[in-house]
Amino acid sequence: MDSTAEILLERFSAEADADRTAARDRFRAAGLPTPGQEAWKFTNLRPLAQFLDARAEPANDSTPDLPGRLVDGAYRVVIIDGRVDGEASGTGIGGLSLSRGSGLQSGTAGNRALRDLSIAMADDGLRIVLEANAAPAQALELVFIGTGSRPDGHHFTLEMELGANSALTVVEHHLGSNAYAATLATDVRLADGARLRHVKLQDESDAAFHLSDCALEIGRDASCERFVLSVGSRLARDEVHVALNGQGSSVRLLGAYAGRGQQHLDHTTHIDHKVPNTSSHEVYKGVLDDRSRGVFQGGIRVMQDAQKTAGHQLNKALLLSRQAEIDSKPALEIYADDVVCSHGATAGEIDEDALFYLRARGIDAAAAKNLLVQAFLDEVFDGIADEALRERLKDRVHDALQVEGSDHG
Amino acid sequence: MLKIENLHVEVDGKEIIRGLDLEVPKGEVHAIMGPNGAGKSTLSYTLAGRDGYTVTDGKVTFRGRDLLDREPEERAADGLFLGFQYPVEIPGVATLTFLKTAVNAVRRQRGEAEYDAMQFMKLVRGKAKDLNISDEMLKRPVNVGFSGGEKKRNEILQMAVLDPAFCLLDETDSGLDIDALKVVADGVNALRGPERGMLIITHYQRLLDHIVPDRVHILAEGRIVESGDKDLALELEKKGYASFGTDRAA
Repeated sequence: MDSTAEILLERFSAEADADRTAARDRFRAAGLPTPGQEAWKFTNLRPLAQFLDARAEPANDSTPDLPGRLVDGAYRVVIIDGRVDGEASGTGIGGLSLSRGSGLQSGTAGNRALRDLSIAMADDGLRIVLEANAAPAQALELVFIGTGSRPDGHHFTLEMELGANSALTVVEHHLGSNAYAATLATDVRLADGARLRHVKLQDESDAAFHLSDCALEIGRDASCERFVLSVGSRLARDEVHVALNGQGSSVRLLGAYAGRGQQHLDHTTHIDHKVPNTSSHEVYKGVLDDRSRGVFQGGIRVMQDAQKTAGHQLNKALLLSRQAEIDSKPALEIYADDVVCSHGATAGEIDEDALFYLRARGIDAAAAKNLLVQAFLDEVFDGIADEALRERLKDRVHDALQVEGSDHG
Repeated sequence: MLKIENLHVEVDGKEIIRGLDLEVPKGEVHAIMGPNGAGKSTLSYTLAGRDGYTVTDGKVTFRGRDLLDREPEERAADGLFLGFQYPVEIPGVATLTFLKTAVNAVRRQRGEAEYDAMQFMKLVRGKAKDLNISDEMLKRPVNVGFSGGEKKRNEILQMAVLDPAFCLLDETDSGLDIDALKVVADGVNALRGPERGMLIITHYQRLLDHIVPDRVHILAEGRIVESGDKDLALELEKKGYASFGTDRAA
């Protein structure tokens, strides 16, 4: 076993159950992922290894400030350094129940290092169950705060179970200060006809590592819309694994990211179309400045039985500096013959003609650049139904880009 | 108002403008006519401050100050407006947002109060109506999916809203049918006034039937080879460019 995996598994509990032990064993055997593995070809975790090897002093564990809500009136659960803050029960939301504790099943899936690590080492977890036919208007907002009090890593698991024909909006807000490594494994199961809106803002501390694996199992006529905005972390990977298990099921994955400095932002998705008449739609757009690097890996697999599949995927990156880089890898495996699938990837720079046109109308170079960058990203945000949420997320990404963008002129 | 002296401009190391002299006083409309490759667009981009147009010699004075050391946005704020031959499409930026950002950027640089949403809408609606520009068009992204005529009308709308001291129109007639040409010409004529200067750059005489210039200049091989009143354009139309310029250029 490599030394980094050793450090990450150091606090493994002697009383761990069979699932955790199985996940631990698998992680230990595979070790920390390396670019030698196909799924990690573009993301090297060496900076994480170096950070863990350095054994940073824990940051002073002061009580962190809570951010404002992303969704007005949302019911909020706060998770600090991998532990639920408070009881997290009795939400008062009809049909919705929450319970603490980590109980994800390890499963048998291979090559899911982040999931294995989170399950093995989970400090805590949250199970969210929504009754059949319940459709609360109130959203659930999970605020994950990293303080750096445990620089050797904090880990969490999330389970969401939506009953038949129920509907829920879940928002994740990840933020923090100081240096730390945060991992998260999420299992979502949507029963027939269930609808989930899942919005994630990854706004971790610039010194943090954010490693997340989300598995979605989607039943007949059920649908999931997921939106992720990544602006934080020095290195982040957001993995999503979707199984379209029931006829008529659909998934929409939207993503926006803004990299500055030396950030590395990886979005890896895999969608399995397992039965006939399912659809997937994916759009990821990123802006990369300075020496930042973006990675998009989009796998779509259409099983032999899955006729009438529609699968569309698009990744576009805007490079604001010559040192910025995007690696984009679509991978389509299609075993059925009656399908409509498409994918596209583009990487480009700011359109100089458009920039000059705006400047010739009196808009200064920095403002003109910002306008073009916002226009590029905004298309993805249009997929967010809640207007207040959409504007808050847009403001966040515009702010992130503006602060760093101003010294480039 | 605009004074160009002995201007030399290079593009990609090749000299395109070769010793151009021209003066447009305020209140006058001048036209520059020239064949393809004479340097018409190079002149307009140089005056507007586009990168890649290197001035190797000469001087341009605009409203009493040196123009060439100013950024494009400063030139716009000083009151110079370039109507583009090929207006640029900007996906994702609504025409209204663009207009408001531009007009307030210019006002801010001039030390004037920015328009609020109400004042701005009132201003735009009035001007848009004169140019047959619908509300629906204003909501669309800048020039995206616009016809050739719509793009040119949108240029004139920007000009009317920005209220510049000087209008530089680069082949505004290209790609227009006769009806669109009239709308655009009416829009330009509405802006003529004793305090404003205009320089109309065109290949064809027909635009000058609708926007009658005070002076006409012929540009060939990077310099003005002939100047005269509006009749020069008619003469040119009869004789063709070959009888002017090329044999006299170096």
